Amino acid sequence: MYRLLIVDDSKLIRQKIERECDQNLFHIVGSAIDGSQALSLFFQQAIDVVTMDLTMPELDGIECIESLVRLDPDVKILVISALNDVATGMEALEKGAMGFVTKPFSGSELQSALCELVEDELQVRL
Amino acid sequence: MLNFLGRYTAIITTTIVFVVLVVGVLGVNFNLSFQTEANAEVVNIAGRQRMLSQRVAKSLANVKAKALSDEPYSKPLDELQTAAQLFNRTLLAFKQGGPTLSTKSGQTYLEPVSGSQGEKAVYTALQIWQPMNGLIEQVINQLGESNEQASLESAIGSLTQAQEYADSNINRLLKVMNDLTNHTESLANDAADKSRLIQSAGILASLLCFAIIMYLILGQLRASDMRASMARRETKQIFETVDQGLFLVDKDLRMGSEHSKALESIFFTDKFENKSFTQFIGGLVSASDLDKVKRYLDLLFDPHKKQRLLTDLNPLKKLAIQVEEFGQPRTKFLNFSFSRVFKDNQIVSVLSSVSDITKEVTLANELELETRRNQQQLEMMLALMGADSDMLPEFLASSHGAYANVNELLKGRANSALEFREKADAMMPLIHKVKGDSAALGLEFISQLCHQFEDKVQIVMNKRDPSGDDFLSLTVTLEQLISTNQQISSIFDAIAGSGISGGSAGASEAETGDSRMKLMQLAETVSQRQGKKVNLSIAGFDEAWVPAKVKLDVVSLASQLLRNAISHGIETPAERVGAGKSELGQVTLALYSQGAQGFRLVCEDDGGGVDFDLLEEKAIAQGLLNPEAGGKITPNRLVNLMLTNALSSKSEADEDAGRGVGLSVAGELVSKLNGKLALSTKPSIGTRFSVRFTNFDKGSNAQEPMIEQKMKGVA
Repeated sequence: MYRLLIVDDSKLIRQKIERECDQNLFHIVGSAIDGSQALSLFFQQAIDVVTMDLTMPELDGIECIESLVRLDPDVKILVISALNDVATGMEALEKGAMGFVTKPFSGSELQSALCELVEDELQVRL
Repeated sequence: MLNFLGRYTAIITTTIVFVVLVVGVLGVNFNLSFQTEANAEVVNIAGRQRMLSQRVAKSLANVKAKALSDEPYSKPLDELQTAAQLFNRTLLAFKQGGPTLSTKSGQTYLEPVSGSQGEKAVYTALQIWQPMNGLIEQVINQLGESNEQASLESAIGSLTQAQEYADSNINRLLKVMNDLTNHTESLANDAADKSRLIQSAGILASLLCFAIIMYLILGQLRASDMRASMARRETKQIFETVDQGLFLVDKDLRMGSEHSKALESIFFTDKFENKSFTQFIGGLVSASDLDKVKRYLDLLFDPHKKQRLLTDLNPLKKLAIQVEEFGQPRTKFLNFSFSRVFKDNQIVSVLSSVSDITKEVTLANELELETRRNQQQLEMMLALMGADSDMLPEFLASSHGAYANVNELLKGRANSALEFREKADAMMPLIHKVKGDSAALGLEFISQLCHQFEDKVQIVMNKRDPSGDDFLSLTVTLEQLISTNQQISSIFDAIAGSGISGGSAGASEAETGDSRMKLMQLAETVSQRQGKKVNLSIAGFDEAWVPAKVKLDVVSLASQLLRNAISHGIETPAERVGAGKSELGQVTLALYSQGAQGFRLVCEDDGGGVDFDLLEEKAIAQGLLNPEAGGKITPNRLVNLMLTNALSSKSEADEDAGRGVGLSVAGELVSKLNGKLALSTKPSIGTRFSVRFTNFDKGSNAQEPMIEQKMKGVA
């Protein structure tokens, strides 16, 4: 089980991710509505995988990614954001995120993206 | 590895045989060289026996001569002894094997002579030699014992005997020794022949092996060459056949040496090899997009990023390029997709595949356009079905008139910038009225088109030096508006013919209900767009008696006033809270009958009131007022300007207000209906427009517009 943290300012999106992610593979340890809440959750518990929105109040996604990667270089971050600014998406990946999924997304898109994110380790485990 | 060995088994085996042969030949050769040397020594020794036999005979003669002449004979005697002993020892060694003096130095071991000829020679030699050796030993003994005369004489006797024996037998001995020499020589020759044969055979076998190796290696080379050239041919065929443009991009973002033929037809060039990809693509995209392409490729080369989770960021998913085909410029859409190429678990390059998606894009665009058109028609249908069937023909007629007027204005000549500006000025209120009317009827798509038109007019008005060309884009929008009107007419006729519409001439309650709904919708749309919170109360619209022919104008006037109240009057929620008011603004529209032939329309808001200072500033800035020449600036004058000219306190125009034509349209409507408008306003309390219509009998067309402003409580 991977410990998953969901970061998104939209309640709908958070609920959708919670509902759609593979419960056999991911254990949701928390949901944050912005970067600063995500950071404080990250301090409190061990987290393997993070889904990250980019535009949020308080601390935005890019800064949050930078901080998370600084705290734990092995954390796997999947950016889930609307694609109105490709450059910001790229910046997120340059700062340490591993993948990008465009909003809106379907349940299967999310599942395959999350699997892809942790796939290397899955191969080792199998 | 095993496969690899399997392919080369023949070569490896042959090489091993070759090496074994070469080593064998060398070993045999090495051995034979010793053998040959030994054989040569045997021949030499056999030769020495010949020489020794002669020396024995000669020494015998010497010893006898010295002894007879009474000279010292010890030296020849020693020679005799040495020669005889060596001869004897060697002969014995030839017979049964044993050591003897080498011809070079030291001792050597002789094998017994082999072969019948040799054995016979040795045997005969021994038969001759042994009696002679006995005589010689006797001589030596006698001469060696003392120098007495007696023994000397007997010694001479022995000597003579030995000499005689030697003289008579030496030739035979010589011959026999000769035979022995010849025999050993022939033996040595035989051995040498044999060794030469072995060597030749070895060399021949080695050469054969070598030839086989060469043959096998060349065969392998040819086979692998053929495989390689076949693979190359296949690759070439694939590259010539695929529809996609394929090429590799390496870490330094250089394009590889191979590319598919399709790439050439996509880009009309065949110069790709070793070109920098960014330089190549740089000619097709903007600088900022080029930066994105570079960053995207960098991400692809970063093994920590997930390739499949990068595709959404691909900046070259849909690239539009301008090409010239058959002398005609046209836009082509290309799709680039990239996938990593691994070697030893390292990303060495990225395979890029380009396809022409112009058809797909065109189809998608057409589909979208079609969908939008359908949606628009559906919207139109719905709007028309819900629209007031009384008011719609009125709207169609009035908007048609407005379009005709605008069209006249567009067609008419204008020779100076001033004339162009005047034209634009004249168009504005015409279209603005259509916008208000359509919004009041819920025909959102028309009000949007009107807004587009106003935007374009505004652009022309803002130009320093407007020209006829600037009006061209206006005609396009106008055509759209006119065709929309035609569509509405045909749909309306169809609906009216089929009796679908709920609106019929007698259903007046339903109609007024419709107006209420439209006004409610308008309030919601405008307040949402403005980011304001508004509660609209509508009173009296159901009961009031309004003549059918002026109904559209009254509702239109109400909607203009409502629009104005929300966009100008009501403050933003934040401002309201800051002023100690509730977030929710209140707007009231009321229509009630007054007397037998009159009615009154009231629009009231609890907003911030009219900002006369700002109005004054704007009026001066727009040149509507001249503070030096124009005498006193009164609120009355400003309101007049507001109602008759394009003066607005809003700083930026949007769909709802800000062009300053909204209230002038209201003013026109008031004068058209022969109404009297009163405005009262108080800062941060609100604004109230009240229009009174009297004498509404048959002749309601006002000849003389009259606007009355009654200012109450103006600060």
